[in-house]
Amino acid sequence: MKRICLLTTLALACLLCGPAAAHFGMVIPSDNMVMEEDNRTVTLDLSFSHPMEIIGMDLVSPKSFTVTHEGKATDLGKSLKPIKVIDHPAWTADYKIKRPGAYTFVMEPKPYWEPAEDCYIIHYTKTVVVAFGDDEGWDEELGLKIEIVPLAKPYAQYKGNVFQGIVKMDGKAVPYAEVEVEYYNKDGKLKAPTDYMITQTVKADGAGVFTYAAPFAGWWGFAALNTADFTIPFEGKDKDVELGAVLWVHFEDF
Amino acid sequence: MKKLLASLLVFFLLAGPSLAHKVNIFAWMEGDTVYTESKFSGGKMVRNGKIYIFDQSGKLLVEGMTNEEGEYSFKVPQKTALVISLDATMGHADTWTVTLDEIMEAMGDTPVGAAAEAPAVEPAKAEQPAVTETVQSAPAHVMQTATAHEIQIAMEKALDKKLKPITRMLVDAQEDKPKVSDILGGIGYIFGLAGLAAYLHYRRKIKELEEV
Repeated sequence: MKRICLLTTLALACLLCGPAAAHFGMVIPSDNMVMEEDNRTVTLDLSFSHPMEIIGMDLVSPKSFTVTHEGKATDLGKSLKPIKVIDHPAWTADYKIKRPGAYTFVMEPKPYWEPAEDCYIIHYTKTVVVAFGDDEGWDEELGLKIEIVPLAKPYAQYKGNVFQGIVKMDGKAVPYAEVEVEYYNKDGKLKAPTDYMITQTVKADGAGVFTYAAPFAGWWGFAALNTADFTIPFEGKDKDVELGAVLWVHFEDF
Repeated sequence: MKKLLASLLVFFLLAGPSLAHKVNIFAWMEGDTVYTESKFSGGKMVRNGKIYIFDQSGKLLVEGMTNEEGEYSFKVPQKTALVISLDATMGHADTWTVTLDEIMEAMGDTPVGAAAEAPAVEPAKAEQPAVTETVQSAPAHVMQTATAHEIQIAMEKALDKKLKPITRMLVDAQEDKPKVSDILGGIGYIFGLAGLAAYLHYRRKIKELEEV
């Protein structure tokens, strides 16, 4: 009896929350640790996808795309060129790294209307590229509407390392924030044993700090989700806005 | 066991700092000058770090020392790849290579000769914007054998020298937010003062006209 009850609840929960897989804003650089002898031009691919299942969605031209280096933000919106990621419209930009240090790339998309969830989605998506041996500024908070501030360097991680970040909204920690975690299954080799395993979910502690250990090498996306304190009208009705702070971290094979 | 711990402790005392405070040297080209910046991983600049510049065969070409800001610059001594080595003592060392491609891109056909005239081996002075150096006029003999080409070279040389502090300033400005705003603010002042002057000037004119 208990089991049936549990199953029904789960089924109901699944019906309510719609597709099990999560949307992820994606900003994936061709190299995130640029060494002296590496190609100094980094190519960044921007998309909106289900990274584990390799299901693409359309990403209209982002509201903004910037890089922050030594506390100074530079607009890269003009360097975006349309491409296809997983057969869907996406964007790409080349960025030439000239000096050592940490470069934080941030994409703010235009609100995405998701009929299945009856809400808009805005994923502030960032990733950090470091260059030439220096990485000062990797831990800086950029002051986005919602943001994951890394507590471990969001690069130079071995697979299996524990990763921690603090979820902040309007500069304040979000206690018990929900963080969805997904692997970028680029070549489609991995298959989740059950649908529950496509997206893993952890919750932050009371101080907004979440913890996750990546089981394999590759790109991992962390999406901290929260409902916005504002609404956006859709066909005359005010709709909720799901805000996501997404951070992409590459874990390396030893 | 105790011995092991003791040796581990010694090991960490010796090996620890060099890992925790890794030094990092970076170099970039501007015109015929190579600028370097040396930094510890914590963010502190390397003061009085020894800099050696080698060609690819390991021949020492230039040496010098970083200043208080961890900077050191020198003129390209010859058009080959330059291996710049930083020795910040206590086992902190790092190298950076300026490739021949980078040198060619920055210098083009400009001959290395310019470097010979203003030796950059004195580190302390080399870092100072070359304001004093620039006073040297273009070589006098140019005036006698003044072919158009030579004049052009001399002009370029002189311009390079005179513009160096400005280029440096622009680079700094690019890297430093407040300085950009300083410059913009300065431009604003200029416009503002010009506007004020124009206002006063025309007010007088109008008065004169009215009196007539």
